[in-house]
Amino acid sequence: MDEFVASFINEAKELIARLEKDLLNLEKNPDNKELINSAFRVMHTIKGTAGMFGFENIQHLTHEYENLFDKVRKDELKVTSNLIDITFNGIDVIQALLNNENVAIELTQLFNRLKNEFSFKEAIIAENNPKVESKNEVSRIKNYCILFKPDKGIFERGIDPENTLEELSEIGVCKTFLHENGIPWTDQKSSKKCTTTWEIYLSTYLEAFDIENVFMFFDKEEYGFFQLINGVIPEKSAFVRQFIKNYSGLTALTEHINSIFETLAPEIDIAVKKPGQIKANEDDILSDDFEKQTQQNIAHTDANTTINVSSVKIDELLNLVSELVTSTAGLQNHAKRLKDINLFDTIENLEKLTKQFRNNALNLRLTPVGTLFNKFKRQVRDLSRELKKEVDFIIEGQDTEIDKAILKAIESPLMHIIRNSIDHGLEFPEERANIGKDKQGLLKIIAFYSGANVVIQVQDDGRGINLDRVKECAIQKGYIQKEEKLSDQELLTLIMEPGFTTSENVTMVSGRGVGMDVVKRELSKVSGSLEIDTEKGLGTYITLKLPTTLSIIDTLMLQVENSVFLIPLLEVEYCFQEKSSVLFDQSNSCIRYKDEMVPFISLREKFHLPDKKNENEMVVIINKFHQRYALVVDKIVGQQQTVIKNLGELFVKQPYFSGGNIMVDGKLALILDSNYLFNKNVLA
Amino acid sequence: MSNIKLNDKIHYVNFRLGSENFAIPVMRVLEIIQNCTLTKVPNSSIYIRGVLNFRGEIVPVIDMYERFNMKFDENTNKMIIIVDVESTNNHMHIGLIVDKVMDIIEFEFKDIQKAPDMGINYDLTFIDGFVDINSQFIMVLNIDKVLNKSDLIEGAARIDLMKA
Repeated sequence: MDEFVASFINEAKELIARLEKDLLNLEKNPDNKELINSAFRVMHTIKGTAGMFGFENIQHLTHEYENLFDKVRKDELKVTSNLIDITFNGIDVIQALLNNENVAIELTQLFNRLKNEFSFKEAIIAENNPKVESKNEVSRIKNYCILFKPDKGIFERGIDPENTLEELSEIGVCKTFLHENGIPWTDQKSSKKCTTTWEIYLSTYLEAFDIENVFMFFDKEEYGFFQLINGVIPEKSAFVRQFIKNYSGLTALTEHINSIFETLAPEIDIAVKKPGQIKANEDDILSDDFEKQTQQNIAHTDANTTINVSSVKIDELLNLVSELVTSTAGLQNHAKRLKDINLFDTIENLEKLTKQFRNNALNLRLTPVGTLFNKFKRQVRDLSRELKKEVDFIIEGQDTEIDKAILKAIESPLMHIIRNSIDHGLEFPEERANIGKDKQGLLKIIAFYSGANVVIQVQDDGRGINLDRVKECAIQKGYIQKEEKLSDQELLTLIMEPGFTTSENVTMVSGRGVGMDVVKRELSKVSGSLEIDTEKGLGTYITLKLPTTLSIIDTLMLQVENSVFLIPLLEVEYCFQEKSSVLFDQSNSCIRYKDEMVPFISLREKFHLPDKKNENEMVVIINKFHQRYALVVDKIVGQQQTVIKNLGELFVKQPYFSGGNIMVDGKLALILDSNYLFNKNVLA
Repeated sequence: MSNIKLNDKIHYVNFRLGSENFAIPVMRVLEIIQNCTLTKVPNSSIYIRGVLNFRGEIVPVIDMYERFNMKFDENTNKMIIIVDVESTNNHMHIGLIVDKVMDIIEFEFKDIQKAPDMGINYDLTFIDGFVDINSQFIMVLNIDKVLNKSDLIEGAARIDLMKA
């Protein structure tokens, strides 16, 4: 069951993400029927499934919104920014509820707001008391009596009444009586002449509206139904009379009906809690309900749907693929020796294919940046309203793909940058008008490939960063000396120092500079870098450079004795040769580099390799967060593209290596974890 | 192994470690590798001889000599048996370094006799018992005990390792 709940939560979140997008569009095009329908549909779908999994609050809340959008659909309500606001509010609450957060207060407030501002009499708040909830659930079961008498020529219309009955049985539990009128149903079916009447008793959570949907291909004369309220037949319409005809009077019928529903009641929970079926079915009904346009729209989104595959499976695939690459390389070596041209050609082809295969497999980990950028739309909207700025938010290159893990890691840094741009970069509308700029500020986020990297740039056309002010602050805070002459770029790097800010009044949203160091640190965790360009009065460009994927990195291959070690190339600043005597004949393990004493580690010593004195050693200067360290090795072999692989469970206590890499010759090389290697405690 | 009946015939891989013969169920063995270079992992537990590339996966290789208090003879060729081990969340592959894989033997579960608790200088729980095949004593390994994860991880760091 848990796994169903999890899949419900996932699905609901996806739906909500879509809804958010639609709402933002709707705000721009308030008359777009398609978007309104889509909002209604999302609420309806969530409502249907939420109840099944015990999310009572969500069920009630979405019920309200369903009503709300139903009114909008029927033109009883206009799309106002207030309506959009309250819907966003609702989305937040639903999301919190999905995450099992306690939002009782927000929920009550929201219901009150809905009630007051959109006059809902029926707003009910589910109590947190489980007993009340279950009662609620029982009372939500609705009993319908349906009389279904398809036209004689129903088969000629291409409809099989049995399908309709099946559909009904999927939305709830039902009991069906057949009145064949003399001819057995199977005969009627083969002769394509339908004279049967069905009496159907249906217990369901769904509304009358949903039942109408099941019968959407039938004429009004062919079916009829009424809802049984508290065990009483509602009114004596012509339709009810038709029902009574088969029984000896109203009381007999009422008794008959009630006894049927009593037998159905215990079944409904069992039947309805088959989530897959019901959900799929609801979708069917719903999509039938809307015009072709919407259907096309749905079909379109379906075409772009993604499937969730566990990363373990992808890793397995990658393992096999890289093994294939290695085997192919081995094969090629043999072919070279044999000097068979035909064999050689075939292998070359095979090699090409495996490389392509490998690239494709690696691509599986990538997601388009648009999934993240679209999230920002909402936040930009909220922020600009809050800060009373007008922002034209433009997204470009949203199809650029990047490793999902990286995308996740840059979410908050990017948000921080965007916040900064709106809060400090962009001017207020009046201010902009005064200096001849468009009232609406431009905020652009673009992504593109640059070699093996992905570049994400946040651009604004605001006031830019005041470099004089930066310098002033830097002097004041003692980062630089008064007489020091710094280039603009050097001044800008100061912004990224911890605790640096030029803003006197730190707002709720951000204080320019504060947190830029955090942004930088977060980025370096995923091997990304940051650059700032600014022009006073014209705007600021902030550029993030990120690797496409974390599982492949460029490394430098180092050798000590027969062992090969890899270190991420990004961390390497410089390499040079040094005489052993210079290195080891000192009391401290430090080496002079650029007028700085850099502590070094000899890998030979560290890893207890045979004690042997070389005349010359290679020194690799590592730069980590502006701290320099050095590694002493025998030889630098060269650069290598490295697919990082986990060492596995038995090496959890092994801190020196962050993973291993299978090399072209099939051998393994270990990747040094400089974080641990140069940990102060380890150095000492 | 719970569904094995006493008189079911089971196939075992018979291998030599030092001067003794051991057997592990064929079902647990994925591959037997000859002539393989291991990559040593500095500062790892004494029970881990190194890692190797097995079908694109990094697989740790257990030093069976260390585990059974035997002396590792540097001068003889070794073989590696890759076995499948049930791990917390999935299957894990582990290599065992041994002297030589002899053959596949077959015996019934009831043929396994209780091992004597004398004259064995390793953990008795490592073996389920022994079988007598053509008057040769073969120890039946309890591979899960031998490859107990926390033992392997907690083993003291080996220092001599890189000399090999």
